[in-house]
Amino acid sequence: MAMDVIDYKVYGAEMQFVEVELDPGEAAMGEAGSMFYMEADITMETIFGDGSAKQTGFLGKLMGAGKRLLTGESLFTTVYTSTALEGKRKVAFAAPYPGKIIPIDLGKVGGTFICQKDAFLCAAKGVSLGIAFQRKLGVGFFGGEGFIMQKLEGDGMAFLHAGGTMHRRDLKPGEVLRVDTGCLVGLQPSVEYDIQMVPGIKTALFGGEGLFFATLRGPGFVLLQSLPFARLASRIFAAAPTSKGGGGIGGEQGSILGGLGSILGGDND
Amino acid sequence: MKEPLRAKAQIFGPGFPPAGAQIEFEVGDSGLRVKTAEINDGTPRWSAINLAKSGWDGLQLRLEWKGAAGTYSLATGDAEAIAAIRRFSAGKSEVNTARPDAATRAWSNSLIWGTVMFPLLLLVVIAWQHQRIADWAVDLIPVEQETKLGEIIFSQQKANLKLVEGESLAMVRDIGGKLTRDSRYKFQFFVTEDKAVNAYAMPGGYVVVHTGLLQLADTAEEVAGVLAHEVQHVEQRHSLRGMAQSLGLYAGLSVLFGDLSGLASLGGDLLKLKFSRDHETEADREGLKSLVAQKINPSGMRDFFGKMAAQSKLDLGFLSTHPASDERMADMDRLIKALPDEAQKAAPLAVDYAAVKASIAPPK
Repeated sequence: MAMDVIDYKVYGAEMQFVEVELDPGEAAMGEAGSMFYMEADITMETIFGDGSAKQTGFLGKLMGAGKRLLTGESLFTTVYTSTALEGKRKVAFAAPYPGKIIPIDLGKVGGTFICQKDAFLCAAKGVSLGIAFQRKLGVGFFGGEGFIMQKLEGDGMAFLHAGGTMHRRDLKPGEVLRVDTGCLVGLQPSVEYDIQMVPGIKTALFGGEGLFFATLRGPGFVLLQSLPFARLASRIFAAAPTSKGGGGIGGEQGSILGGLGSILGGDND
Repeated sequence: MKEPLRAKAQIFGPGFPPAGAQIEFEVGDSGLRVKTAEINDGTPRWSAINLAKSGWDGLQLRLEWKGAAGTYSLATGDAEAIAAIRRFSAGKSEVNTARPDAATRAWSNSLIWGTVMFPLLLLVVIAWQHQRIADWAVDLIPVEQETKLGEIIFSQQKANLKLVEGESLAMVRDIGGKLTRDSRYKFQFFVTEDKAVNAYAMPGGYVVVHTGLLQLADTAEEVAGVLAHEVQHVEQRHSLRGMAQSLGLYAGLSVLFGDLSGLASLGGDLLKLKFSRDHETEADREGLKSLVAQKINPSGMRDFFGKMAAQSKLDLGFLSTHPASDERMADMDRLIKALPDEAQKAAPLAVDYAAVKASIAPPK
């Protein structure tokens, strides 16, 4: 498959963005709304679905778009294509919340990677975004990632984003890692993913880890996040002052435009 | 001799990158054949290979074996390759199904069932069988309890009623007494001054007839028809059933969703419950039977309901709760025609209906 080979650089420490270099004619695609900046001679085209070559015909596109809806993402992806005749052009994609961006070369991991629903940030054009269903009931309910995960296929670069610090663990055949549920960002399909009861009823009830761990058994590598965004959000929510309105979305308190301002300002996600 | 199959898979192990590498391998009768620069002893026999259902969703097949340098693992999700491996390895190597330990399984299963499936099932059963459940619950209520409930409701209602005595009440009590001769309930009949054409029964055997209804009727048999119908509502415990059905479903739902606030405020609406169409039909049929049993001409019932249907454009209270549909009339007609002749030729009731009517006539 002909994927666009893109060069990239990740900037920042805790709130990162990735800058992708496009040769003439090359393209990258980003989650709608994730574009940070781009240079001249890059055209933006919003397409229905994920723009992978697999989707042909209207129905195929509709299916692709439907899958994206299931994973909780926008129906549309935006493709950024360099129309320059020579030289490199840059486009950058920013992470939507504090965390880290991790590049994955799908060609080097066997062509398929399974990740958390909203972990995808951007990729070289041609990477296909699909959904993958968790078939184990226990894992779906208690694994922390739900029944629907996202499947990235192709052999180009894909960039994932998750909260806190991203950690890559390579698991040797038979090596087992137990992870707090919700902290798994992605895994190679060869990794065995299951749940395990937290040992000891006291630990289970009062240990604060919940009733289950996710257990991961090699071979393959897994991506972990140290701070799932939901956890951060619940802490912030718990600490947020409750008196008077204003807080909540937008946060531009005292703006003359009020609620309207946040609509005009865009970026409501 | 089966043809060896070549397939591609991701291999992990010493000498390969941590994320594994895509290699081509051969599946044959004796075992696997994986020959690359990194691995020289990649020809394990089936007996040395540990097969397991694996992968993040349990749909991959994992082949693991010990080589000179360490453990190698090969994972494939390709359906064709999996089928071939199964075919070649049949009988020579067992497939282990990856499963969490028993305790985890039991816990997660019971949690799933307890928190998701069971309430869902309960909901489905309640929604589907609520009529039967309600009937079952109603059958458990003793008659004394029902009578007590009727007493309470009637004593509340009494204040709003202008009870009438005299000939009309005597007639209603006389006919009602006949119809309820063998009943397990102690029926009490009342006549109240109200222009609306209506009659209703409360649980436990309280039957109230409006003077408006008596005015509309032309014979005692017509009144008897209405009374027989109302008496059957009590006998068949329709009001209890109606309550249990609509309340029971509501109560079940609110218990399931943990919202009990609505239930408490519902008490006052009990009286407004309407009988279902099935209950009306049942009351018609059983009422007819009881009329025949008491040798009262059953055509009175049909005549009265027919009269009401004819007047249906008027705002009649009885009609709103007793829809006089054509279907129902036809049903009643059919039932009456099926009765033996002597039932239809029953002697008229010994009542001077004109006098009764005159006694309740509004003062001019």
